Amino acid sequence: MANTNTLRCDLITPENRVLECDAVSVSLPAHDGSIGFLKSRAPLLCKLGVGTLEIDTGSTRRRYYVDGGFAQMFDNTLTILTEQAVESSDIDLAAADAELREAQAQTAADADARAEKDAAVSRAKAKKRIAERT
Amino acid sequence: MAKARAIAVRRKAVNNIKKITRTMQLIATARFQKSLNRAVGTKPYTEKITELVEQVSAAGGEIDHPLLKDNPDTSRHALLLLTSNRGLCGGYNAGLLRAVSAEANTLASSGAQVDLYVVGKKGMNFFKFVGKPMHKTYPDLPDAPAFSEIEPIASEFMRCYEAGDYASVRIVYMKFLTPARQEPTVARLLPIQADTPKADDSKKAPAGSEAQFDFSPEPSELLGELLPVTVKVRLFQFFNDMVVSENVARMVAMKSASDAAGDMSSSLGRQFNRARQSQITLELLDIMGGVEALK
Repeated sequence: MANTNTLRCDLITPENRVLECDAVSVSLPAHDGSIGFLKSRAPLLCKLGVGTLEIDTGSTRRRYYVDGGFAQMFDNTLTILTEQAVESSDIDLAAADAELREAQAQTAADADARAEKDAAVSRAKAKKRIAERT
Repeated sequence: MAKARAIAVRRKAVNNIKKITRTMQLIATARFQKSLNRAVGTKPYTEKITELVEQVSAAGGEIDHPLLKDNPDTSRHALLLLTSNRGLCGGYNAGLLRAVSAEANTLASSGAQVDLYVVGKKGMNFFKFVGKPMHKTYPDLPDAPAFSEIEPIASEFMRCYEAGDYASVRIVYMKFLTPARQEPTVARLLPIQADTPKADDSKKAPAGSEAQFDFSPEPSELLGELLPVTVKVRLFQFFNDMVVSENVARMVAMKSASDAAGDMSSSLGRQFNRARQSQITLELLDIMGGVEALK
């Protein structure tokens, strides 16, 4: 049976529940690097970074761009709370490219501005990466 | 003839107005359904965030965060008023303006200064009219703002609060209780009430409270990230409540307007018939009088 080696995956944004499905494996961008999840992983609570959330349901692979948030793994259920989840097919490569150029063109005078610029660049790069793969 | 015709014209006008208010009622009903779905849609996120806060604070012990602490050094308060952009929604804005004035007066009488933040054209116009200064307005917000539009507002309040500018941040909004009842409410956004995360204590321990979680990063740091999110989501909920209540208020106001127009139209109809009848009688009497005179 397929559901013997699956975990439950919930993707929730403040506006709605984006996805609720059984998944074979999930890989998500934690704040300090990518984490993979399989069935019955030990309970975990972690902060998310910017990057690609990849959900493998066995038959399909869905990819989302996520920007920050939290993930909780408990009782074979992975709950992902994020302020923004954009499915890969909704990301426009040209727009992501433009965003990257704009981010790189920002002038960063002090440390705060530099951090802001770096964040904008990494957001745009993450979007671009997802768009390129689809 | 003049009187009967005047009544007929008036009746037609009333019927036209009824058509308009009836359409507005239908639109408000459709918007209400949509906004209600939106408001319900935020629920899973809110509940989960609250659950996470509980789990992390259970693991992290003492909570020490600037958003939880009072700012005793200042007597300035921020008051954010959420009004609608458009009118024709009954006592909706009037109720809110009364509530905000009352709150501002109570704060002022205890010697505090109030910085007024206003969302919605109706609130802005009111304070412009009475000549009360507004600290900041948000004229560009759409009728039903998205989370990404609310987030900067919440971040700004948190920044001000952490900098010690305000002793509290309060929101005046229309709380949606049932479709038949909404209430102007003053809610405190900051500091975060310490009892908010514990509100469910009496019910049951949160799911997974007995589990040993791996935390990444450390619980205290994680909590520092979670608390601002709870503030943002709460503010977003206030905005959602505002939108739902506005649409309900408009729906009710337009329903009573349509009903009143219907009543008026039927009473005008009766008046018209009576006027027409008396006119016919008059004409008949005229003819009879003429016939009599010719005999």
